[in-house]
Amino acid sequence: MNTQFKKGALELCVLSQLVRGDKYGYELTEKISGVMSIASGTMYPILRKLKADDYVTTYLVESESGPARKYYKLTDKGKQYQADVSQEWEAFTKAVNQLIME
Amino acid sequence: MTKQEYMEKLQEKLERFGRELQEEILEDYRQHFAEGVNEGKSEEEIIEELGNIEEMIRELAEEDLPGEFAQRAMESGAVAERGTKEPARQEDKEERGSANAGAEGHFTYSGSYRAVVLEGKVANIHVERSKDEKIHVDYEAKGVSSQLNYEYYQYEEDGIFYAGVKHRKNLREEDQGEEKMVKVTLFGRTIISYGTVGGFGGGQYITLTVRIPQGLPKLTAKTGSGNIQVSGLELESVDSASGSGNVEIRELVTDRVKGHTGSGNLAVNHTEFISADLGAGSGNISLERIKGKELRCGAGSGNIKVDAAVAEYHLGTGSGNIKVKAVGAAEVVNMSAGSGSVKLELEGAEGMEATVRTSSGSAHIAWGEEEAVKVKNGTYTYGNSACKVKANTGSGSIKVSGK
Repeated sequence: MNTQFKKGALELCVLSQLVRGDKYGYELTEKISGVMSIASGTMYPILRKLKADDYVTTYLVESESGPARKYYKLTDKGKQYQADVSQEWEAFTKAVNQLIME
Repeated sequence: MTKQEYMEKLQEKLERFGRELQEEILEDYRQHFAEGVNEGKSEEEIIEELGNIEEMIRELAEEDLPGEFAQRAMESGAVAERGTKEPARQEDKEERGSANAGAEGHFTYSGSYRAVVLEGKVANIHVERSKDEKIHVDYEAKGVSSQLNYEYYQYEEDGIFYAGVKHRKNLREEDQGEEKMVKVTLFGRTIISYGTVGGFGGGQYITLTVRIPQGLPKLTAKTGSGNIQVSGLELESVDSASGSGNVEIRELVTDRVKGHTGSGNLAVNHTEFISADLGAGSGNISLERIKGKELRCGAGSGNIKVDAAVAEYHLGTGSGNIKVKAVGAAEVVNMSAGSGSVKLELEGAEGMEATVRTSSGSAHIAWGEEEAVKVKNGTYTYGNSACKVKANTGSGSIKVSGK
């Protein structure tokens, strides 16, 4: 699959997961790799980029399992972006589905 | 592979990046291992889950490069700019008036493409040089009615950028009589966009203006009834054709240029090429200040007028006249007219071998400072015979002069 497309889709998945509440990296990658087959490692650059683009912020929480957990939180800009892109996604999949059915 | 080996390999691969980034990714992976172990997974399982390090590095490399560079590095064509961290960069404008309906759209694309393909149908196509690295597409529809007959589109596929106007098919009932612009954007790039423009008649037109960046190798522009203008570009090849409109090409530097029109006129000026293939069905062809190696030019019933510095000329017209001013060291000049006259002025030639043939007209040849003399059909040589001239006409006259 076109990597740009895939990356965009992954970004949307991550942001949508965060709408429901803050999550830490492992939690996010487990959730997504549980549904689609991707190398969890590739999620970290995407998370980093979402942060660089100010769609998310991070904070650390002490953990019993070892190193502190890095949590990701949606910013207002991230929320807006998620809302816009998921709408676009819907319009796109609707159009694609329609064309597949025809 | 053990966790330690995997982490060492990761560290090694991360070395090309900045300190802060290295630490962050290593920390993410450490955390990932800790969480996995805590859930009872083996190191092997976690390594498999994290996957190929190179794949992650590629991902990271794309993000880490400066904006412009990253765009070029990406394997697919259009990507939205990331430079200033905003996702979408298309601006859409639409102006509507009930009395004199019109519509405008503006779209911008970044990316490296192998080619640009434009199809105008009823629209005029203007192609110019972009002032930046992006492709800009502007649509302007004037005086169109509310009837929805045409829509415009742009998309990319396999490294080729397509844009144009097409006839609306399968017009759905609910869409009747309603003007709308539908755009599907995804991840900051326009995947599919439609704007609607109306039916056509007097005073109505659509113009598609596309500005393309330097370094884009191929351009194809075709339209049915619109005009085509291509100017100010440097590229490998240009193919332009209009059914009934005019084709105008100027200030181009290219290896191959093609320009054709069915019933319109064709004009090429200030253009450099290796080979040019130009044709007009019933219109005239005018070529001025062009330079190149090989020129092939054919007109059905129109005139051909050439002012050029080209090595090889192959010119033909059915019922029109041919008039050529050839500057510089021309090697071959072939001119053939059905019923029109043929006139050649050769400048800068060290010699020529002229073969003239006319069925019912007269033929004159002049060399150097000498007066033109009337000649019979035949071959005449002057100087070192360097330039081979052939002039044929059915009922027209022939005038050849060289110096």
